[in-house]
Amino acid sequence: MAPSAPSHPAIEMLLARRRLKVIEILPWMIAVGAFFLLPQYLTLGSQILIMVLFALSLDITVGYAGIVILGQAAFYGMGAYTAGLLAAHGWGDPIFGLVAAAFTAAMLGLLSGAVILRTTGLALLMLGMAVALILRELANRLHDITGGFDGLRGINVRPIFGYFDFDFFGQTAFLYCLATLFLAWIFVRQLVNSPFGRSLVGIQENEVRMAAMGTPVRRRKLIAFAISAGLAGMAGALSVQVNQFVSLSVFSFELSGTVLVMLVLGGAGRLYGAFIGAPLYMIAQDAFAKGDPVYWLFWLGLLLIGVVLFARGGLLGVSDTIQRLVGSHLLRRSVASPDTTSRASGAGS
Amino acid sequence: MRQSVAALETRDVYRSFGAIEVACDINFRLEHGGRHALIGPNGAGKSTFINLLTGQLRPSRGSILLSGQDVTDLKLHQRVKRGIARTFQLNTLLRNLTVLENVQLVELERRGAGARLVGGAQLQREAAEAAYSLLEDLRLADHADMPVKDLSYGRQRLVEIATALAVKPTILLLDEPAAGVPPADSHLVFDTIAALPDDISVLIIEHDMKLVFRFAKRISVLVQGRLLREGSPDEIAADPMVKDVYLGHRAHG
Repeated sequence: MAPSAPSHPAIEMLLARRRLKVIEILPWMIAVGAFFLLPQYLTLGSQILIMVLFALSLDITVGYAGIVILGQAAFYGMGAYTAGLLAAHGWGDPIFGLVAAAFTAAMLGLLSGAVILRTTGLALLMLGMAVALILRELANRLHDITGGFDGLRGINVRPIFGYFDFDFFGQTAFLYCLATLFLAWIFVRQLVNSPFGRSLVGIQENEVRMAAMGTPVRRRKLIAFAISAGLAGMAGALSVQVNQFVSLSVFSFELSGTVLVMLVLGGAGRLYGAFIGAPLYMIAQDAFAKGDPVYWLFWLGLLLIGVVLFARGGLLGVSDTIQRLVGSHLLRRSVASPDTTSRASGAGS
Repeated sequence: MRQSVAALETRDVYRSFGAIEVACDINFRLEHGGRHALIGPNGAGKSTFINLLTGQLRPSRGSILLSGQDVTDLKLHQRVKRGIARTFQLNTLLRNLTVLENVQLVELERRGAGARLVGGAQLQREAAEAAYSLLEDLRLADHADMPVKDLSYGRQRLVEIATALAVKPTILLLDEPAAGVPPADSHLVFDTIAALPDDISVLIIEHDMKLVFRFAKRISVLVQGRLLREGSPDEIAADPMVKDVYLGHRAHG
């Protein structure tokens, strides 16, 4: 982009990752557009935004740190019950609930991660599920506090900033979810491009190597896990505050699986996989599931098999490949001239 | 015998895997600024010994001293902070990242910036510039923006060495740096190793005897987890026992 820069192109290329690209504004324009143009779908819109945040949280562990886990619902549920219980006991301020949910979920991530991150692969997958199962059973047993199987009653969420009430049409809820997601996105975008985030990518590629170069691998994975858990907790809190309801299903295996499918579908480790996968999944579900729920899952399954077999980077990976194929010869024409030829002679000697 | 403090020293280091003794009471000294080669037949425990030195593996007993300080209880990444760097026998580079970023990540870690969650743009620039100049020194700058996996195997070995140098080590452990490099490219690796600065103490594991005798001032011979001999290249080359167990039945020239 800027050949006039003083340092070498390779350095600029590496650092350019941090710069905001125009296309990154697109999801937000679509969201704002939907708010004005599709008022009858705002409730679905809020659910989508929540799932985007949830899938985004999972991207930090699965996509960046390479911690493949199938129990993210544990943290979602932790956040959901935190916000729900607070709101049911007179602490209905949504922002406070959101922050508290992020905190408790992150703490749970720290504690459970300290134990389960000692394992990898299949063992880790199972242990992640176990954490969610334990929490589900705990919430079930603590019937007097959580409402058990019937769900928590009496959730009363106050207006945002004491002013914006959650209205019947879901306008406030949508904007509240959108603002939360936006802030989370700014944070995660910073995170994945920071030295920390890049070291996670390194850890995913080769743990032993990173340790041999001085990276405290376990600690870094644990921090990533806790941050991911905190964001999942926020998604859970949003869900409770918007729907004014929480039940044991927030800990369900199905939810853990669904969010992973959304992420893989969109493309893990790419920051925007969540923004593609979650809306696609939920819109398709909403559109098709009404008519024939079984049939829709069939097509989803087929799509998933296709993505996993032929497009490991998800739908974003496919788009990357197309871009590379189309862009490579265009780029070659415009960029190759400045100094690659003159420098190449030095390499040959 | 020798009074000075060694750059790296092991005292009676022992390690076994079940009934197999892979390191048997090894007493080893790497002198400051030393150029030391460790040779021995396949399965002698050379890579295991490196893993013990770096902390990737814990000795069952014995101790490891870095400039006289006991580092036996330090983990791998902590020993790196004390100045031990290594290369791997098989490339363990971050294949999908560029050459530059492979080195830059090490630079960031050495600067203690690896845990920066937000910001750090300036640090990333400084680390990238330092990484780039290191790549220039190793004549890899032209490949800086290429993903490692697109490099020839010989150049990948050089990147492997570059990442180890980015640690700014006082001790460098090279585990078969020229293994798998096609003969036409091997001079790239040899020249780089020959040009390493004197203040780095180097221990090299290598099967290529040409490289060993060109480079090493001292040679230790490891056989079945035991240090069989140690001496100057001439002594080792003339030693009948070494010839018998190692040089004899391997046709290296």
